[in-house]
Amino acid sequence: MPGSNELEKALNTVKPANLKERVQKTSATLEDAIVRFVNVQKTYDSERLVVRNLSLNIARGEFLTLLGPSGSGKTTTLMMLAGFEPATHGEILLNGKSINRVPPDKRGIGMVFQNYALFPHMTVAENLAFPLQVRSMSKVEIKKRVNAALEMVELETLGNRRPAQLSGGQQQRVAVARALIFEPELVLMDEPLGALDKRLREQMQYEIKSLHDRLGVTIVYVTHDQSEALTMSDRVAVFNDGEIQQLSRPADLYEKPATAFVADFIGENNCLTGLLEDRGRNGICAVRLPNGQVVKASQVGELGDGNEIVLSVRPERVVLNPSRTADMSTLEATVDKLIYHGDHVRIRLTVAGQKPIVVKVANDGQGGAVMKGDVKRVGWLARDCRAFKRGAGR
Amino acid sequence: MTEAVLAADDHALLKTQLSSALRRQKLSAFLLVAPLLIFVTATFIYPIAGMLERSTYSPEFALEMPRTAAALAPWDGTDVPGDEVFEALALDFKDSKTRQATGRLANLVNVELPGARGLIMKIGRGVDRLQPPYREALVALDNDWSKPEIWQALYGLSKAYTSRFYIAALDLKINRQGEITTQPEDKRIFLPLFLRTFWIGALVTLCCLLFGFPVAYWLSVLPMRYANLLMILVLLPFWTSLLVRTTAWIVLLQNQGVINSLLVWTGAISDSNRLSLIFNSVGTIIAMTHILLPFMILPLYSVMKTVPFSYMRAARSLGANQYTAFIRVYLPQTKPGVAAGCLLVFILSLGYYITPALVGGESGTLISNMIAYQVQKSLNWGLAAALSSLLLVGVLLLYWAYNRLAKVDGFKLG
Repeated sequence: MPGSNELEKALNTVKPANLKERVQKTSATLEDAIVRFVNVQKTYDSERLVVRNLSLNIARGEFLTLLGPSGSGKTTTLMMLAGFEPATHGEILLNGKSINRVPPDKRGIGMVFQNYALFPHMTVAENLAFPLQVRSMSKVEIKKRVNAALEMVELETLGNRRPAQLSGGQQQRVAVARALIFEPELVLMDEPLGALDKRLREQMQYEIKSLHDRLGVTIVYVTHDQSEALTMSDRVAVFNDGEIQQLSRPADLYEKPATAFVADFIGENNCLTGLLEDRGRNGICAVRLPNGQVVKASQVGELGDGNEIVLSVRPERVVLNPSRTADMSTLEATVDKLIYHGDHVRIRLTVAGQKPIVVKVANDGQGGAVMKGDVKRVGWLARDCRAFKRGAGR
Repeated sequence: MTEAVLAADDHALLKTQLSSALRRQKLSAFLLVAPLLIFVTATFIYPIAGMLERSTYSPEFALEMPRTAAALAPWDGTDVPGDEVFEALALDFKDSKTRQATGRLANLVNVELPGARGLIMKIGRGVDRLQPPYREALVALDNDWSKPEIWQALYGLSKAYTSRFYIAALDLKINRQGEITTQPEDKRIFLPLFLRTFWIGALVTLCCLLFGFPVAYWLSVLPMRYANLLMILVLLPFWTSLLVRTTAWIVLLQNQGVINSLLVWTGAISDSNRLSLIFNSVGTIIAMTHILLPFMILPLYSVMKTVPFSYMRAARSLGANQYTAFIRVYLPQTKPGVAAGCLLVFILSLGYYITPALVGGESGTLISNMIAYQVQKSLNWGLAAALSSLLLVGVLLLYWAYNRLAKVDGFKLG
């Protein structure tokens, strides 16, 4: 799976100074929630639920990302919040008031669209002035605000250009400035960086994040790019098949995935299947692999005897030639392939007759120690291996 | 590959190889378009050139009456010309009699001076008895020969290159002093007809826009399945004969037709006050709007299809209500389609012939019907050519203006 490098970077960028504040933000109580979804369902064809039963509180000032594969319901959720799609069932509250019947233009929510949706027949300044004009602001005030907004996104000199004359990154900035210029409390972003190349995307991630810190607006951000979600968000809601699989801080999402889907979707993951042998104590259970071997793993959720289990281990937590300790499970594995990545090497091994697993080994300059076809021992600590009930959380 | 390997400094060889490769490409491209080029030249460019020529070049009289034409050339056009012209005329008539061309000549002169046919035919019958001095002989034959009108007509005819067709087409005339003046109001025929053509064209274009815009919008937002069905309905008129469609409107709109009967039946109008919906300009506008509607819908649709839905959503999220978002965000982006559709419909309606001929009656006929009349009935091809050329110039001016506007706005048609 690509992008694990970025992932690690993402985890390292969580600023300690912000941590306390973030933890506070994550516990969105009913009082400080700016947005509440209450049992919201959505179907387009009255057969399939796109959003199953969504209940979600969004705290004032937080950066919440809706993350998930395409068709998981994250964009539909955003569109319901913006007012472009009506909820089939349930209620959406903004500042404690139901907005189910409020048209989008009366909701006062800023929005950045996937392809920016800058009006091509207007200049940049006219685009920025548009939300102020429809609010019947005075010309002097509009001019002042447009100039301030252009300054904010460092495009002072480009006010008279048409959007088509700007680069992708500049268009992006104008779109963000336009969504913020009428000072909404809440800004929605629908995969805003999808059309940019990698370098620009990283820069824009940083800029959007710093705008968020400076202005204190609440941002709900939709993406299918997990590294984007992890780097930018206070909290991430992982969507799959119309349901939130897990809603937690980025670090928890990676370290403590709640379902097999999250474990697989966020970062790289090795999967083994087996049957529950023993529920054990302290959350450590024993799982019997099809080849008869038993491994220990941290139990996630309620497991019953004989349940089919999915085990998940991160590649960087798999140890090659492990020392035999009590909570280390070891297996014999055959090296199938070596993949050179510069700073590290990935070793693919077949183990216990299952799907191959990948081990990440730092490149210490002593390459060639492992060859294809070698039989090695691999192992992991019980706390690094998570056992999920198969099929739970789809 | 060995051939292609060149020394780095061998630019000359590289150049010749490139140019020969390009030449082959150009030649094959030209051969591909050649059949169409020949076809267009033969069926389009050549007839238009012929039309333009005929509107200014009219050598018939000069060929028929060479002596007269030559003798009239130095005439100042004010009074009756000198004896030598009378003599030339008499001799030319003697010649033309032998060629049995007098009838044709009479038609030619009659177009220029209505009622002159008799005068010419009279000479034709009596030319054998004409003896010098010819002036007295001709005047004795008919006193009109002593008046300048007939001579002015002949003078106008005698020049091979002439602007008289354009003068006539613009409702102008040359007075006795040889100056160009406007016709009195009650004698103007063509300018009011041009005006009516442009006016009805504008009304038809407006109607098409009003009816076509919602349909095109609908087409562009409907799911593919329904959009295809609707598109077939839009195109259906294209697949029906123009004649059938027009006569269908006669059935619907005539005095005892479906619509009038329905209105009388419902009591909306009384039997004695049936609406006259056809054989007038109303009928022309209704039938032409129906027939030209697809030409408006298709360009509109093609532009609307490219306007992403997210623009309207963005406008709504920025605080614009549906109406404002439509006017300020959606409408400006459909401008290229509106302009292209309007231009197409307007230009097509300027040249419309069959429909106004069938349903236009007195007040609904257009300039094209007049052109057809000049070609078929009055046999004044020069005038027909001049009228056509003026129409063509009008269309080209419109197109030029459109392109000027389009350039400013950054879109272009063709």
